[in-house]
Amino acid sequence: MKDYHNLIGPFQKSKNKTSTMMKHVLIALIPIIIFSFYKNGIVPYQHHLVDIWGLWYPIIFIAIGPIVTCLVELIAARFFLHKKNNDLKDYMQHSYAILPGLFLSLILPIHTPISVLIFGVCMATIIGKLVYGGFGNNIFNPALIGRLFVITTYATVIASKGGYLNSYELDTISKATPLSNVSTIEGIGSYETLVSPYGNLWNFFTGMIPGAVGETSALLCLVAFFYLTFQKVIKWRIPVFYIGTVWILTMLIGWLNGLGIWYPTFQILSGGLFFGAIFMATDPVTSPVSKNAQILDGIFLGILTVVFRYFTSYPEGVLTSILTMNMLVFVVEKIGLQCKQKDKRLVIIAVILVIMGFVAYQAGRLYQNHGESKDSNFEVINVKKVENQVIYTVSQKGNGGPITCEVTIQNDKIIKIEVIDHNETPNYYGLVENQHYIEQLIKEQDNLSELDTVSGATISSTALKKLAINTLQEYEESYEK
Amino acid sequence: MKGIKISSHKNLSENTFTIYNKPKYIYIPLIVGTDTDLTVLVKKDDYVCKGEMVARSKGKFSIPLHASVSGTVIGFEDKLYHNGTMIKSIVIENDFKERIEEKQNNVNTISSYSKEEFLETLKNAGILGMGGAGFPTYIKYETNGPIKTLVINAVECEPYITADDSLGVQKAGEILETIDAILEIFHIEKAIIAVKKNHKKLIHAFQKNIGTYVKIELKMVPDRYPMGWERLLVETVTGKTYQNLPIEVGVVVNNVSTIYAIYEALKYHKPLIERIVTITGDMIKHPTNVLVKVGTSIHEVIEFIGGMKRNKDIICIAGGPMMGVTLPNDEVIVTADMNALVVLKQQEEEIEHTCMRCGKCVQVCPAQIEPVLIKDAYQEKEALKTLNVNRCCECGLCSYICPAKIKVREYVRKAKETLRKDDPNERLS
Repeated sequence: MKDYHNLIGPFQKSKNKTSTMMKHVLIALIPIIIFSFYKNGIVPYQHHLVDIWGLWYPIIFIAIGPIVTCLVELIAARFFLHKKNNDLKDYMQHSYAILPGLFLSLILPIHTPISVLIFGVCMATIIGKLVYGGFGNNIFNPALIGRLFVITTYATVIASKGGYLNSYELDTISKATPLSNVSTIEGIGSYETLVSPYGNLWNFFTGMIPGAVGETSALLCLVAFFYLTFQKVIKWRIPVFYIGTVWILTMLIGWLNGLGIWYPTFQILSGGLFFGAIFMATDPVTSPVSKNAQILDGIFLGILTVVFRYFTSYPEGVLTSILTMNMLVFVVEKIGLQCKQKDKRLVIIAVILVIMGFVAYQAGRLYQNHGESKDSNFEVINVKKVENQVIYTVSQKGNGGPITCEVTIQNDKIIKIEVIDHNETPNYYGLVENQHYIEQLIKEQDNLSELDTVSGATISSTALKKLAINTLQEYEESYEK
Repeated sequence: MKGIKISSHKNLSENTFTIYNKPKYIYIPLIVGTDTDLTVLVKKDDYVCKGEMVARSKGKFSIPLHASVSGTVIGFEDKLYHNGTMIKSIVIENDFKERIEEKQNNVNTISSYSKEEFLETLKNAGILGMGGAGFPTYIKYETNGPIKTLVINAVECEPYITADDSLGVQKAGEILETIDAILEIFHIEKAIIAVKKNHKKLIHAFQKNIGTYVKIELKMVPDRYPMGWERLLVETVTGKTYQNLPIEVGVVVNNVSTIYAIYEALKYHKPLIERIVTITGDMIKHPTNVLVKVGTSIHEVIEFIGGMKRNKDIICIAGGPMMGVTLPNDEVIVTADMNALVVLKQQEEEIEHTCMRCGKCVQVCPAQIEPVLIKDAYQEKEALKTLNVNRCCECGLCSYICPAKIKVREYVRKAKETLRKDDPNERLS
């Protein structure tokens, strides 16, 4: 009889397996993939906006991500880690390469060129995962790393192809995504300007709004959330507290500006928050393990998202928040341990409430003075009167500093806008020029507030639009009487 | 709710009972707890009576060991102890006469003992915690503070084991009588018998007899592992939490088998020389609860009840599959604190995969510590200090639940070792 003396118990084990957990995540994603196929493929096809290739394009797009990640991992394992035969098979079975690729496909705009998608997927696997030592060792969520690379390097390319809007949406809605829309309108907005362009909030909930390939449907994300929580796969506290915190903070911000409950609901249903909270923030490898730390992680994610949405020029915030919190997981874990002591827990709760109150108050105040005083980003440098023309030299703050223009007004109409000086990023500004935005401004000068901005160069085009509006207002005040 | 439901496999040996009282030889391992420094009171060729003291520990607790048969000491031999090591043992050849030293009269009302007599009786009878801890029972009662609640642990949460269950069903009346006597002797307000809510037979046995005892309450606890862990049990049935020992909140916890041993000591002056052992597992032909004499070799008992299905590719576990220890063979000697031998199919060693930090071990941990964080830092003494490593009860749920099949509990054990190094104070807590 062999010596079994030193076997280590327990000798009764659960049926849990890492692979089973990953399988459940894939199952939870199936409805989301089907919905994406419906929204981005079937609907445009039904309206004869795309051909048969366009019909299947979403499926192909989604499939490319996982295929490429698997290939990259395979190559890395075979040629850099020198794994062979069974070893290689075993490695591939336990690296779960499919998931980051699939996630990345789902969180990119549908008009991302395939080459850019492949680039992003390679970055996700190599920079996001392999350099840390593969599955289980990465600090950041690989899919989000991939998306970060794509949107920072190829935003203009993607925007020029149509950005987040699928062919049907380009045809019918022709507005940017709800959150980039938020950053272009004056003030905090109203139901008519924020929600109505996309129908109603029900559309937001079901996901029939512009957005990345697979992240728009809050309903299906919720279904996935319940499924995964029931199967005990995800850390449910993170999404609950994440979405809850965003809702409460935006509710306060809306309340400070006299907006109803629809406003926080609009905020949580926009910008892939549900998808990010349920699938990306709960990524086991990059999220905290203890219960208190998971709650804290969710709350901090919520606060960060609100901060990014209101105080930075980047309207979305989910990706940045999650990557930031990934980096801080070990800190959150430590604070979580402190929370076990009652007195320290009270202090931590108090600190969090103060931070939340401060953020809500500051964000709410951003829009408080709107309409009463003039735009502080606008400046009249010089006014010349030549015959029947008035020539304004004005500047409006853009992305890289003031954009200075000469605006010529004749018979109460703008007849010419000439940009004298600007400091905008050439790529973005190029888009503005490409789309003849200045010509559009002159053409649509009676309806400027209705005019769309250039998607992909939102800030520069908004600045130009505001410049035109402010100059006209200035002219009216001085000459109309 | 703490703990989780795990499959119990108790149906294998439930409702079975047999007696094996004819061992040719008995072996008394010279060990008490982890203490092997004992005074041996007999020598080769001595004749010993049943119940005679043959050795006692030298430490301050001075625990006696008794002969469980009458017969001749034929020498000393190294035998397998249930912690997996070989221990020098006294070998006694049974003369099957069951001769007793001097016959003492049975005590009619066991509540007539005084506190001092009670403690003395328990001490002389060598009553130990029979649930597995093996801690001398009288010490629990030797307290200055008042005892408010007596908790009887009849939970037996470890899978496969049904020894307490079997005893409780048969001796419910005697157990209740003993509890009542203890309540009277120590002026304790109430007693709570904790039973798993799905142990219907045991609940029924107690309910049938409990009517006359107003101070004894039967409490059903959820079928969760490790509900029998003292700390969790006290919290579940009394709502009280304590730092180190339950007596801090006025609670004494006794295993139900221990209570019956107390009964026999009080009533018949009988030392702890018999106990029920569950012999079970997939590889045992007829899994059974067996009443055996302390000192019997389990191998004989297994032969007696019908043997094993095969004797290759098996593992013998002393205790249950969660917290038990594997043995090289089945020739282990029954001691007072060994409650079961589980013989299972040899399992394929599972490969450990990368930890993906799913946090399941944190979720299930009944001690509410963070096994995965302890695993990460198991060699770093400073980091471990904030992680409450010594709260761990080694129930093994973290290893049980781990989807990557990592033996998390072993890392926690190593962490305890790290903390213990050059710090003797840590040993106490």
